[in-house]
Amino acid sequence: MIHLNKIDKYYDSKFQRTFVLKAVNLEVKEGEFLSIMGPSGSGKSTLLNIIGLLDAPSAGEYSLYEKSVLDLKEKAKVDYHRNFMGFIFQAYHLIEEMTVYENIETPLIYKGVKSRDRQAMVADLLDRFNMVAKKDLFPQQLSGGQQQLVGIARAIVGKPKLLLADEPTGNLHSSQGEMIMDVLKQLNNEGMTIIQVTHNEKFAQCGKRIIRLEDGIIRGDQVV
Amino acid sequence: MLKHYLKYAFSNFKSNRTIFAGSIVTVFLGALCISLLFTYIHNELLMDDLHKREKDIYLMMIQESPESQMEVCDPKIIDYPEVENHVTIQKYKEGEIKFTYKESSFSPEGIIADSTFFEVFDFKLKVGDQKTILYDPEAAVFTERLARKIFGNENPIGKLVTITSKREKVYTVKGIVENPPSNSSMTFDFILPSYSYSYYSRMGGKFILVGKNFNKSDFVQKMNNQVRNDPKYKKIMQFRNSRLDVMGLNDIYFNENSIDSIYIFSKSGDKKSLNILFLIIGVAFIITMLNFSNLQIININSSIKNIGINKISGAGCNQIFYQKITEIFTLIILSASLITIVFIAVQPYFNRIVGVELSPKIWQIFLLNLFVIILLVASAMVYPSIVYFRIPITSSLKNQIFSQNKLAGRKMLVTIQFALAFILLTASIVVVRQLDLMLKKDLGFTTENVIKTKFFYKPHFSGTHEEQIQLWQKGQNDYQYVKNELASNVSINCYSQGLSPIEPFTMSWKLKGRDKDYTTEKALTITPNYLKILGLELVEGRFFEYEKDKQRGKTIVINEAAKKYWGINDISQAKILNKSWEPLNGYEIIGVVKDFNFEHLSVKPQPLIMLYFENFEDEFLIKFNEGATQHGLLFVQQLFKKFNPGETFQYSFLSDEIDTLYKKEKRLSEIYMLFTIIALSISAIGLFAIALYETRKRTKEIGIRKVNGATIFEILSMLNRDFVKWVAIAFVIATPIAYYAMNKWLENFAYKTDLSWWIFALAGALALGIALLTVSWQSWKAATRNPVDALRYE
Repeated sequence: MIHLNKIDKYYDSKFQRTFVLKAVNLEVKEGEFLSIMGPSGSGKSTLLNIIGLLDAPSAGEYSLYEKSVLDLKEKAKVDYHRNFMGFIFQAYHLIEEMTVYENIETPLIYKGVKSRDRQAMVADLLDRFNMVAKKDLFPQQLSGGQQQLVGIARAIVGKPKLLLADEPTGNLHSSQGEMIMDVLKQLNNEGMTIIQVTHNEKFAQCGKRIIRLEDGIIRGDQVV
Repeated sequence: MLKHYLKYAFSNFKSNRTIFAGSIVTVFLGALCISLLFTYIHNELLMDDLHKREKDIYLMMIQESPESQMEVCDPKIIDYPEVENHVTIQKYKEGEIKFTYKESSFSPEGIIADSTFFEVFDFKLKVGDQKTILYDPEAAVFTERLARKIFGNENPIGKLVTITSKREKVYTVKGIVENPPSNSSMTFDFILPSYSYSYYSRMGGKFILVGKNFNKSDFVQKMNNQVRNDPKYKKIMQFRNSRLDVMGLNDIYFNENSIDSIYIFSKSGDKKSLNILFLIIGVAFIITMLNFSNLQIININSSIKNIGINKISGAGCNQIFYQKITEIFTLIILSASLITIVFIAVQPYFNRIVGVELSPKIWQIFLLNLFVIILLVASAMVYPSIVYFRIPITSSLKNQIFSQNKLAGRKMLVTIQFALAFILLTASIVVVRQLDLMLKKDLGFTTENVIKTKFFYKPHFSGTHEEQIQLWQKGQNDYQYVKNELASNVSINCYSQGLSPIEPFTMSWKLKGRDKDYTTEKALTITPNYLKILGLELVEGRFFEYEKDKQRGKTIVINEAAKKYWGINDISQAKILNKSWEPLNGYEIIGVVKDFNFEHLSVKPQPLIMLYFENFEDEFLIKFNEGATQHGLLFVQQLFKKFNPGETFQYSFLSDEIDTLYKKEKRLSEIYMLFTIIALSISAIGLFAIALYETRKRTKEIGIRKVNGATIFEILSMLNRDFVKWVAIAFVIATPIAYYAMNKWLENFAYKTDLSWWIFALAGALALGIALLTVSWQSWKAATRNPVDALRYE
């Protein structure tokens, strides 16, 4: 599904070029659960952002389903964000002025889903994550784990094929982290492709495959 | 979708309360200023626009000599094909014509006009046929407000009213005309047909309505040729050596001061003040725009993360755009509605300040405000929206916002704002000081405890010759009685008759035996006590004396300026000619008084001629003894009631009349102060928002500094130093501009206040004080915070 070929990402400063990613080759198949590991500054998040079309590589090729997505127009990128992938973040990135319900609903609004269908879809997810009672609360009134659940719900409400998670458990207690990982595992079992960035060896093991980045170079690629 | 946008907009307002409130207040104050001033300017510029054919209406004028003032005139020489219609109007001021209905009487202002009045001018008749009503010699036309004043809620039509001027006559109210609107330079409360009979011999002004093939210069040429060659006109003194001219109605309003319009126009405009107001509008616009721009950038800063989240959730650029538009429009509609309400509330106060009765309709106000705000916001959003779309998602999610140099740009905006506010501040200090100087300046005559009032109206002569003689005799007796009473009362220091020194009339004068032609000069008709009552100083010769001079005699007293103007060395040798009254022998000069400022202090004393006239209907100037004003007034009032039962006693203090001379400057200074305060508050809001943002951004830095041992004072001075620097730069930029502008403005006055350094220092200190106050509030909060809180989160 995802094909990265010789991806470079670098920043030019006055006298030198700093590489964040160097000649990264990566192939991800549908239904995989990939964990990207590595120390701070190894380029994990940059790699994830490139895959998520939030950042462009400095060199290399990137194709989704054999279609290059490097020189996409803004509109096409938005289409990918709407229909193809969802994001979750370490800091949850929920809109604090909106309720749980509204947060989850947002992507559907942009997608142009009708109001009645939206209600049904959001209600389904709230039900699934046992958050029906909390739908009118604001993010700050929830625990971190619950906030991340909302984040996941928002990411998957549009039924994406690919879920990109940037340290989803980084801000959480281990028990809450485990709960989140269970949810991700379950989603993967249902057929969703997941790529997560993590520091946590134990949570990395939840995935089916781990790649290890060091100074922007893939040093290891193992199947769990 | 719209519902979602609105929801989002409101939640954004809620989470950025400070910014939102700041934006609303900024737009609110700015747009309110602009639309108020605009309403006023619009009214001024559209003066007399209510007449459909305003551009085809011309007023006949005469200029007696090349150097004299143009005067309104009424030559009976209209027989030209290009003139479609014409109307002659005589205007009477308040107090000149008396209306009596039952027991009560009123003396409103009004006009006596030809039957064609409503064909030339488009004042709307509510009751009555505009074609025929002024043909009816018995008909009186009242404005709605006069009808209400006299008849209350009764139906005015058909009511009989006695009208007294030279004679007495009963009229029937047959027409009701709408009150003259605020953009009519002519004001009146009644219209009487000139068919009825002639009142006093006041000259009227003739307006002509011209057709398409009218050419102004040809027409003037034709008219003058006719006057010079026609034996009928050659004989009339007035036309000898004179030149006839016409002036377009739409030119009159802004030139009223340079012509003698014999009261026909009660309002005059001032292009200079209008330009100043335009300037103020411009400044208000720029300040508001910069501020709004600034606040929006800050708003983007705080909502940028949400934009990133939305983008990731699948929002396209256009959706982000619509979202922002919805937000902005909500803000616009909200503030437009708010302004409309406040506009209506402050309208009466504003009307009082500018001295115009403006009453635009609600929807007009709303649309105007909407337009002003949209213009403001649209121009203010240019810069923020460029910033808005350029931010990459990844950095927006990380809250990495602007680099330092972009902030420098924003500080520039604040600097410009403060520079403008500083200029306004200086201007208003100077204007207030100049006004103060003019109001307090020694005018060369005393006005203390002096009132101006009237005891008798012009007598009306009716009935047989004997009756008339009787009436006249009674009038003379009454007059003598009043004079005796005034002279013997203990509360009264002295009295005199004559025109108020600030209301001279103009006539054509000339020094006998000199080439210099007639020029328009000011004159006062007075009685001998005038010198004493006003405390004038005689520098040469003598003043009028009851024993030596006769009223309406051939003697005059002039002022020093007149003596200098005509270059007279020996007053006993010189004679002064008056074109209408004494064109041949002239007047003998018996004395010269020291110059006194009988006119607005924008000019040095001009030549003045004083004539001895004693008429019992003339105004009285009465000076009360120190502390006896109350008693004296009561006494004068009783005296008045004795001869005018049922009428209201009217008087005015001379000092108040002088104050009204400076109404324009007062108005200007009030407008200045008002808008300076508004400009300063807008700038303060901008600074506050920036300070808020800046200190928030530096929270971590402040924490680190405190952990490393910085004191609160050091933190405060560090945070404030930057802002003080920008205000100082604003001061440096603005000082020369303010100095130049105010110097220019002061050139309008003969007596000017000095532009001393402390004015600028004071304005600078005020601006700096306001800046420091707004910034310090934020800095203090930041500096006293526990550094642990600041450093806990990254």
